Amino acid sequence: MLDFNSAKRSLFSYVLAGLAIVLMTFNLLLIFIVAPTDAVLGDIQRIFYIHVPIAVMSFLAFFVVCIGSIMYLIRRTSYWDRLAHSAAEVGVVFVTITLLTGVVWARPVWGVWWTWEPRLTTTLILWLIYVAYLMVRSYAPNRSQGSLYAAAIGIVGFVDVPIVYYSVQWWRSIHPAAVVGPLAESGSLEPIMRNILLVSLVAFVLVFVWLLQQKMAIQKASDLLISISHISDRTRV
Amino acid sequence: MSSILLQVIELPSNLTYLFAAFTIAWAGFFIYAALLSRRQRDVQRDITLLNKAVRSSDAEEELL
Repeated sequence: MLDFNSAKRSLFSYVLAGLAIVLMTFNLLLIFIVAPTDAVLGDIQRIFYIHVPIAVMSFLAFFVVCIGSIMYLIRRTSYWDRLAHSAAEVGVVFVTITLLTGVVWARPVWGVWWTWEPRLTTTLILWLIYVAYLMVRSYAPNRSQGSLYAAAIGIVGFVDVPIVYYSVQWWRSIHPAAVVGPLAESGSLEPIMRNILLVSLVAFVLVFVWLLQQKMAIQKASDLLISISHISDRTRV
Repeated sequence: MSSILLQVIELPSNLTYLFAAFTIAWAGFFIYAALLSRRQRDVQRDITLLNKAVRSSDAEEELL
């Protein structure tokens, strides 16, 4: 009898989802009720409380892809391959939403939906790299070749993540300066804004981990199904 | 009087963009979660079918 436990929703998954929902609801209350209105940008600035954490989660996802790809090339076990694949798919979702929320913010602030400035351009390149990763997986002649080619893209493609982050410093950019990470200046954010941003970051970490866990469970069950189908075909022959 | 009413009920345009951004973000996550859920149902259905096929194959072997 086949074991379906890997694809069933475990207690951990329910707890994670519950925590994510509670924290995200609290986060929304903080963003719209507690967070002060920016003196220069007005209410549109509140997009920052979701745009920045979602962007950070996409960086985290692609870091997981890089680590998973390296470990897959070393160990050649399906776990690392599955982790890299799952993180890439979740990462593409996050970076897509980053781009879309950024575009919506840019329209009233810069007067244009899009401009080929360094941060936006390098983020679009990041999106293209990981969409290519997923396409290589789908269209490779066989599963193991797909995993190998994707691992190469996952490792090399991660080079764009620090380029995206440092683009506001390395080139002339109209994108706002970083407020998290090594480039963030102390005092650049009001303490209350910083604290709400931190809550938002934690909430999106929970969402990211839940989505990754769900995707990995489905991938594991799907891989098991494919391998059993192959065994069954060979037995019949 | 009607022009004053129009001014009162007209939302600043930036709130429209703010609403759009949050809608896009949440819609994106919900759509992806729904897609994952559908894929999980498909895999579960395929596993159920495979289990039935294995059981019927075992039953045939026993008869033989």
